[in-house]
Amino acid sequence: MSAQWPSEPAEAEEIIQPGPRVTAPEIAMRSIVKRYGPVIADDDVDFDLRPGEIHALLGENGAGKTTLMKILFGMVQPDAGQILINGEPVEFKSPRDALDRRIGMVHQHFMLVPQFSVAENVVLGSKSFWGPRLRAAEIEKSVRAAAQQFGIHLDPVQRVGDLPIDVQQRVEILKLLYRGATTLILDEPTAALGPAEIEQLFLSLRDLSSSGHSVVIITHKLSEVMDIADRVTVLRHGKVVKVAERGTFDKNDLATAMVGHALVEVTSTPHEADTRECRLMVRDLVVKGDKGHTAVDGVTFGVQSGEILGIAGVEGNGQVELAQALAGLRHPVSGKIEFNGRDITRATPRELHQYGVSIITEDRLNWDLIPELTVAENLGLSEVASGGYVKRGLLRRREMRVNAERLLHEFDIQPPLPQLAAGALSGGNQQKMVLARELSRQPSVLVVAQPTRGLDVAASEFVHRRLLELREGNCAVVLFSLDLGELLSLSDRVVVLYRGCIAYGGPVGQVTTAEVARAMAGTGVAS
Amino acid sequence: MSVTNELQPHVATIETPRKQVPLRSAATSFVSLVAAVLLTGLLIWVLGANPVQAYQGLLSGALGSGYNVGLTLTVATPLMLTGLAAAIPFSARLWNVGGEGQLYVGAVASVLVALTFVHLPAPVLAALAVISGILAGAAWAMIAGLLRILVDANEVIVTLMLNFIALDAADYVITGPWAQNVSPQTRNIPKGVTLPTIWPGTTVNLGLVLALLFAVLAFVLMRNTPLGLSIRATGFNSKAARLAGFSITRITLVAFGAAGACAGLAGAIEVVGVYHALVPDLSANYGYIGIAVALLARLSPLWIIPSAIFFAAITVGGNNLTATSGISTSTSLIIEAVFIILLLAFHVIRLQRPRAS
Amino acid sequence: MNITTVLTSAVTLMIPVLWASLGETIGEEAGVLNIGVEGVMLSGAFAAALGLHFTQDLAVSALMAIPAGLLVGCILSYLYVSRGTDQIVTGLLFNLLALGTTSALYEKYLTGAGQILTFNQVEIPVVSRIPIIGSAFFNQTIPSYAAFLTAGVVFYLLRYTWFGLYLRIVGERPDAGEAAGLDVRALRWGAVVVGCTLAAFGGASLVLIQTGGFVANITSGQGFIALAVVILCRWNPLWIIAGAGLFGLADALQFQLQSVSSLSGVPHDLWLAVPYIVTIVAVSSAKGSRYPAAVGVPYRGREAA
Repeated sequence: MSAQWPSEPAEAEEIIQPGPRVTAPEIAMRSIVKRYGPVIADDDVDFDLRPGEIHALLGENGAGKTTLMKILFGMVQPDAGQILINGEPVEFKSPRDALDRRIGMVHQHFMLVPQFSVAENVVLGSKSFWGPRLRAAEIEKSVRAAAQQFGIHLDPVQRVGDLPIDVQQRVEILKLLYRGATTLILDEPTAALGPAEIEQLFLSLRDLSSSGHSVVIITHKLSEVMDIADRVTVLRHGKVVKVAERGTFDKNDLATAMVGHALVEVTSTPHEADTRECRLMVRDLVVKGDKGHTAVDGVTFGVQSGEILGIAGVEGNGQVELAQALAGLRHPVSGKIEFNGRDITRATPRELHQYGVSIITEDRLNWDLIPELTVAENLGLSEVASGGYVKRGLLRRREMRVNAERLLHEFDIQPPLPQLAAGALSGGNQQKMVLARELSRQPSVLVVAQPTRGLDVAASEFVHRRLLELREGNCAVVLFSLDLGELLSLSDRVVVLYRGCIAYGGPVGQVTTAEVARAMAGTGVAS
Repeated sequence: MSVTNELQPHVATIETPRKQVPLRSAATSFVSLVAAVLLTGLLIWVLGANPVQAYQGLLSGALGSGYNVGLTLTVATPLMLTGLAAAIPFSARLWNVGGEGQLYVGAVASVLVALTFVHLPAPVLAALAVISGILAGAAWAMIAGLLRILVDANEVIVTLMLNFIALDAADYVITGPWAQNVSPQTRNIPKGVTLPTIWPGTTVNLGLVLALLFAVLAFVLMRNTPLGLSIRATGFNSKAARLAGFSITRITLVAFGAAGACAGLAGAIEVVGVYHALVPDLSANYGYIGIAVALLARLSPLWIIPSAIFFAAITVGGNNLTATSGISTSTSLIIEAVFIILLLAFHVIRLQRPRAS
Repeated sequence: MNITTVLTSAVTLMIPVLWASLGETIGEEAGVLNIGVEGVMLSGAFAAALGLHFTQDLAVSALMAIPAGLLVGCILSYLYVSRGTDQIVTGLLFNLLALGTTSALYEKYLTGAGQILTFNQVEIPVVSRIPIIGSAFFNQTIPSYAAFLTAGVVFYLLRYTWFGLYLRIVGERPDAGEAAGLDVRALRWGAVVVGCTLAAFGGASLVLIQTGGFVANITSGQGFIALAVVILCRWNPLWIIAGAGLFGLADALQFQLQSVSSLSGVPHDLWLAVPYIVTIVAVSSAKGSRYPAAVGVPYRGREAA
């Protein structure tokens, strides 16, 4: 699951220079308990943060890490337990209280307003409601000064929505520093970053730490903990299972703590497809994004049956629009998509289903699943849309139920009740439902994005196995993933999408991770 | 191999499957009704009347005699239909607020047909008038659907505006070339062109049967046809519905068309079965009350039947209030509105937020 | 057909919609869609008529819109923000409630001959002599001038104050606002209450400038038209003046065209439909106009994980 990051970034831009020295407080959380209904998110958790350290909070999805930090940030109220700052108990009723104590949090989904400028986002909340005139010029000046003070390269005037993800992250960080935050909490900060950006982020964090700021990183990636953390606290199922200093643990220790057993990596063995027919062909595809910009700029590639093509790239380089075009949800401006020679460029989702093209989007709860409908209805939805399960105008509900039961069993989805509302299933099981629906149709082509996002290790393994099985069955798979490790371990060939173009590509056995990472950062070899 | 995954807390705020109507919400509904009654009672008192007397008047007006029960059922007929007119599009998160206008358009169409084709045999003309009402209502509603599909026009505003336009059209028909010179209404439609009374001695006519039929059909549609599933799916998550392959265009047009058909039928029934002419206050806000009916029934076509009867009772009873207590007939409107608002406030009625537009 | 007459008429007729649109803009910028604005206008109209009936004083009657707006605003805020009810449906039902309540109170207290009183026109010297538009714009009543001024104030408030910035943030991304320490609920409450007060003024000006008295359902959809004006004019108070003006013009023309001989064959009732048709056209041409992102969605607050 880990990739080897390049030892030196392409262009080391120092993002944050050592700013003025600050003194962060000692923070302690004691016996924190938080329940959501029958589920215990945090179970008697203790957490310590020393001034100036970089502390990693490690655990699987759902282990309780984010909840714990949201409690520290005042967004969530604990059911029991205490927060102590420099030994003194405090109560945070809202983020405002935490910010007043110079504690700030950067969330996984940035809390930025895309329509507003960098400056407006940075000063958000820093002046009271009833303050007088808002002078745009003054704000700009103030933010520019702050950016300089902390050595962050940002243009205050730019619209946040136009900025790439890693720059947006800098805005979030500056926002906190501007408010005088000395303790920074970062929730999965590298989720959407490429290797080069991650390197730069870690440099900045080290700078912040050396100038006295305390940093908490919430993560589920072992490699990051190894790279950057001074100390690590491991959570599993809401309980603290390990707290350790740098130098006293290695990856396997962490993995065992996190999951309870050693990790098994699923990798693909090189596979020769039977016939080298190109099942899916994309030629010179140009797709416009929501804002009218060109998101996909003349992309050409082919996928053969029995092959997994991995599409790598930092978030925001056209993957979403490309996937939508392949799914029939967005019409390309020009170019062609062909399936077994047939032109499907403007095919509707219904037609694609009929041809045997399956889609699994990256935003499953929004696009693939309808939580209010029953499991059986969800599993049969696209069939019904294509005219299936109908007799004399009426739905054949029994058939739908039987089909659902079969799928629930085959994919081991819990609880296996077709009549249950799909929303009652856990996140992991919901993902499996979507996979079950699409994979069971024996598609000839599968377009899948971020297949293991939000899944824990075991579920991820399961998904990887099914994808490989599909490949054995001569399906052509297009795999979009932000997780380079996953991509490289599953794909037969990989291409890198950068600013809407293919910047690099080749069979997995022949490319190096370093070259891929460089291409993702835009400094790679054109191919 | 079994996989343990924790429940994600935020997923838990999902509406429970339709089958369960929890005891708690029944209790809260009852409390809300009591609260509405009390609040309105307070208003009645402010208006200088005796609340107890007023409510007695209301109950007797609605249910006090066979004839009054018949009146209640007669008013329940259009309310069932306008309830369906709201419920079907609402299920797709399409806000059809135009039930009132669609009703009037149906009424206008049926009266015009009945006054024009006078040489046809009475039963045929009656059927023709009713069918014209249905089609006219459907067409009127589809204007909003089309505008939504073509130019993404906000259907709340469009259907509201169409209401006012329809009312103006109806006024024109009443005062214009078809006017009767004795009282403010159109000429009466030919004798015999009517919906037969099914409960002798009351005003209950065949329209009630038609309304019940439409409710049952709507139920079958929503529960057991692909179209119904697609409508509900679109209402919950239009993005996912689209990805699954449903055509949003088709769903929009059919939902609005069906809604307009129901409301148009209501108008036709009022003309052909009740008034035998087009009269100015053919509809006492039936279109808007229909929205309340649909909400109380949680958009379920079968539950709309008792819901409509309930609201009809309040409306009919309310008509009795001026006679018994000297207060405005609008009081019934107040009771109805307060009741539903309280149900909304206490989350007994909760329409899922649309996840995407 | 005299242009000046039409323009003067248009400016007079646009004022209620202008007030209501401004109020609705504030609410929507903060993320609350108030379909109940029609009912709010009705409440304001009734309050003004009540004042007129009991005091015969125009100024007092106008001010009666304030408590009416505040009361109604608090009720709606409680429903929309504190209880998080579905905004569209709640608004619709509120309209019914307002209709029923004002009609009932009207029948009790306001029927019978009362004096019809309206604001006099106040001429602004010099500017009112500008040909054609001078007397149209600058010979209006005080509440009319107040409406135009308010448009400027609201524009300034939304664009150039901290309050306005926070309001807009709460309408686009309330979670970002919360994470930055803003009180989303308080801001939305404020926006709705202020918005309803302005809309109530709209209803009051309908009575005090145009009709001098109240009848049931006097607003006849002008609140809904305000909703359309806000979308069309993209939440910009200065453009909203133009949008409301468009409606006023349609309404004014409707009166004028009835008397034009070549068109008098068209029946009176159908002319009444003109403003509504214009509104439909307006709403159909507002493609690309996007509501603030969080509009219509009740904000669940911090506990949502």
